[in-house]
Amino acid sequence: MGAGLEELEAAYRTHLPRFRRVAAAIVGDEERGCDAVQEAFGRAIRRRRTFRRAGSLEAWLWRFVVNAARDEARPFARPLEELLSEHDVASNGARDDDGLRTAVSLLPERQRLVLFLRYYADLDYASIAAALEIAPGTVAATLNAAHASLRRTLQEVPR
Amino acid sequence: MTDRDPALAGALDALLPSFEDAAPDWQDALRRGRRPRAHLLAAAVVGAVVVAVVVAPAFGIGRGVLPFFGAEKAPRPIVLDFASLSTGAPPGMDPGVIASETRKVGVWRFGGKRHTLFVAPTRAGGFCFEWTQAGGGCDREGTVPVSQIGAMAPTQPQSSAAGVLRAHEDGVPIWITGHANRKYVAAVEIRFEDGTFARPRLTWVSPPIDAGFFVLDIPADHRIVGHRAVSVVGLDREGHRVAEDFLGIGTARPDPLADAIVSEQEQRLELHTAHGPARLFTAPTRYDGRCVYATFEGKRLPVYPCSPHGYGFDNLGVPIFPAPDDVLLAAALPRSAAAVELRFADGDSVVLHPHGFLLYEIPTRHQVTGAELSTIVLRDGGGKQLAPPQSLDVPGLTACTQPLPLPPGTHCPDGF
Repeated sequence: MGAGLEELEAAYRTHLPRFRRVAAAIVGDEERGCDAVQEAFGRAIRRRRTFRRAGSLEAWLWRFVVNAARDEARPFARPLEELLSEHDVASNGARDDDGLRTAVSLLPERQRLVLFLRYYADLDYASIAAALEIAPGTVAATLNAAHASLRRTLQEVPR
Repeated sequence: MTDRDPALAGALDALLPSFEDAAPDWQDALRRGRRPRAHLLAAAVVGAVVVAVVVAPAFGIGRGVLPFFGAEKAPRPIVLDFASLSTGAPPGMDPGVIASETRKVGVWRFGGKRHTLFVAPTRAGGFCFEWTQAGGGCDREGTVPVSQIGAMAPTQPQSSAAGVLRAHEDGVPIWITGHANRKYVAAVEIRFEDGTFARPRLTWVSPPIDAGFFVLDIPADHRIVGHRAVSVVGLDREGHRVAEDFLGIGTARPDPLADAIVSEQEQRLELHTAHGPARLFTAPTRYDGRCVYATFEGKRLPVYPCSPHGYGFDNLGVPIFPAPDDVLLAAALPRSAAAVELRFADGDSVVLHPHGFLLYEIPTRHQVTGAELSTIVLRDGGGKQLAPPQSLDVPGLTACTQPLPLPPGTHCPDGF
């Protein structure tokens, strides 16, 4: 039971670009996204004995990366997309027309996470489900909803 | 769009680098893995963290408070920048910043760039702050409830109702940063000309700063005349308006008495004039500040705008209020002002002895050109002038010492 340091290091070195990409997308900042990945692996190393091999090690690690990135995004830097998202709600649906970045920013957080894991990490539904601790069916529905929202927003907003 | 839309994949791909060249740092991850857990470290920090964990959620003021002294120290050039704020500052303008304690509070992206926020405490209990490439300022006393810095861009020429193309004079805010005092404010609201608003999240910083900082990149649909950001409002934990800081956009202008809690006003002086009673009041604000105003002939006249504690309480100016049938002087003065000498253009003079407050009706014979009030001098108990004489013998102001209506083209500053 548990994960060995060698396994963790191998996963770190193999998937680092994808981990960093997703974390940067969540945090809204490349540098701090990279820092979030380092923090995620620090946490994973501390908790490696809790890995039960019921799922894949990669999915287990994604959970740490997503959570560390979300933590990084919260107390300090204010990701622009989150600001715009709140602004959108508060201003009665007023919408930014600054293109895809803003359209993504206006998605609910779960839709954004699913989108990032699907597109930036190229994870399948099962892995996304494991990383976010939701049902695989929910992943499909969430991704569909994200696609629909993006399509609607990008069609309505002049570029 | 299907499961993985190729067009979307391409577009998303373009938003972020691939990180393929990023150097791994496994040793760093190992070091972090050996580090004590964050919450155990946090448990060792007293005060601010307790506030963050226990008080903040109860007040709904955010997800945490950054322990100021736990933040990274600022690099030397920034420390020197902060130190320079006190160098050569005119009397009363030295913020008293403790530059050696400058900290890096965080990095925000706005206006298309990354900006780092540095903050330093002041000796009086306030703070100074500086955004890299985005301005800064000080709240020396730590009592300003809410404040903003807005970056303006010129407006695009717009077609008016008459079909004439012209650019708007005020410009358009493109991003706004600011701070809110944690003693008084739980949330901030950025208000727009069209009645909508945004609520940026505040990043709270523990004492001695005890303030929250925010940033808003103004969306494109609010960079249009009629939809622009006009003010930042500080709200208390019940959602009541505490104070509002205006950007000076369009017709949105501050009401100098808007923050007064009139139900708690205190009458300081009453004067019986030929045209009815005049009264001078002070009223508190929701942020330990004070407002001074007079009532006369059915109007409320701002003597001094509502000001945070420690600011504007030692005013040495004596505002003049022309009314339809009269002219009043009304002031709140420092205790050191034992005498107020009024000099008139005809050589006459009057000496008044206020006790903190002044309310005076200019005699009718001095409400005419040639005999009007020309100079006000404040003296202490020993007869020494407290400030340079306040001269009214200035073109455009002389008329303000006469009853309304003012001559055409004359404009008296508010509370002049």
